Amino acid sequence: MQDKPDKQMLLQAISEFLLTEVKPAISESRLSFRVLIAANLAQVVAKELVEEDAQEAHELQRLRTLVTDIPVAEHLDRPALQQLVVQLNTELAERLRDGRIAGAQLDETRRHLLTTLREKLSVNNPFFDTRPDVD
Amino acid sequence: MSDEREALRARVRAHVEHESGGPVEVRKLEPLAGGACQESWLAELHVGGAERRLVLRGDARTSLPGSLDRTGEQRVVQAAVAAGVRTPAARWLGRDLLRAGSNAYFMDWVSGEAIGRRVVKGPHLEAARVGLGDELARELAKIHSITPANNPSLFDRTDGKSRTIDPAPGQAAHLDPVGILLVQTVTMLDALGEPRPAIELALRWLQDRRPASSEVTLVHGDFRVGNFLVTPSGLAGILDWEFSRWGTPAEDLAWISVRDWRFGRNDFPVGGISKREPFYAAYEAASGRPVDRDQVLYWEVFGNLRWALGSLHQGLRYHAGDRDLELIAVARRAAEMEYEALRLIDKGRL
Repeated sequence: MQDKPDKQMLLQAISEFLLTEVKPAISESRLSFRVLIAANLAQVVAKELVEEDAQEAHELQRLRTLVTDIPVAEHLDRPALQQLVVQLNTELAERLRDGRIAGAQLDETRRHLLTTLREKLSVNNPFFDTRPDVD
Repeated sequence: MSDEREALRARVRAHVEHESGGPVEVRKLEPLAGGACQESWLAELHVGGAERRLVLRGDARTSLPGSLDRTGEQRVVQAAVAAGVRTPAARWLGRDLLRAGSNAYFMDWVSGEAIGRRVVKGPHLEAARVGLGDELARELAKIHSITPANNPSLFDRTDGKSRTIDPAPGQAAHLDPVGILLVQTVTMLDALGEPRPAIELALRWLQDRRPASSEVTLVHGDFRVGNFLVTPSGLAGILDWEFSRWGTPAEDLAWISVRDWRFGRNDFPVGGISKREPFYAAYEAASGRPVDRDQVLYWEVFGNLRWALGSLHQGLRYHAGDRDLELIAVARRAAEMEYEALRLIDKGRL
């Protein structure tokens, strides 16, 4: 394990450097916009590092209630967990494509996907308004 | 000035002399958009005894599925101008003008603000925004007055064939515009190579609710804030016809409301500049065609889905070697469009 500064601190430092030192020195608007994007992406990754374990666990828990017929081993390590999330999402996608998910199960699937997207958006774009009646 | 630039000036002069049948002077020829995008040039010409300010617009180096090249686009612009649509006129299509194998035409220069954020929020355009929804609704009615019946050969000529995954968009779409888009959507989804259950769910919803039959007209195909030139006195022009095709009027009515084109102004669901009902009422009055709100909801879900896939395909372009940071950053934003599609489905109404 690395000593401090840790990865979140470094990403925050990159973001701050780009915003406070690099961006003001650039007059060309397209390049300036790209620097803003780069600073923003560094912040997104910093936030993702904090949230990803919990978000993946939540998503997996919900996926397992939707896709119940796939055997899952106990005590998986992190790469195996991520692989499982992809596997269950692939399964869910195929079943939605085939029309095998309908009725109450479809409603439950939609609620799960909205929750998962809300969690993703809290990382990707914390300013995105997820209220159901936003307009 | 470089030899290359000098050669371009000479080609432009010879081409316009040939097209206009008189002597031409090239006063100015310089790339627009800071030089990074070499597909649009400002051209100031002395032609026919008058000074003319024009934009030379060439084929893009890479394009999204379903887009027209400049030959097809010039034909649509000319049909739109003939129908009275407020759009800069286009003429003098030339081959190999900007570079070999690329078509380009000359478009009237029209001043105005096109940057979406400024159109929606700029204080200097506050008065213009009051009437903008009505103006856009009336222009849309004119666009939708062009039909396969009164313009049968608009898309079916081989010289301006659109580069698309669908082999014959003009004619086939003529028969089944919804079916063509659904097929295109599945193709784009399968090309991602990763599961996107949110997109699958929205796609299923769209397939289950496919409209039985719809009127077919010209659609602009990218009718949204960002493609409108606006001045303090109002709408100056509609731009960017490369996604136009035969489609359903409700597509254009819905695309302008896709959330990303509101630039944060969700209190004005129509492009961040208008409430829904006055916009639909203005369109109904101008077109004589009732606006089916359920169909608009259908196409707004579809629009968010298509834009989610569009942004993911921008990310694929990055991986294919187009190293533009904006392309890979926008791919992460697909979650916003996925969320919006499912939110609308969940809400079930506009």
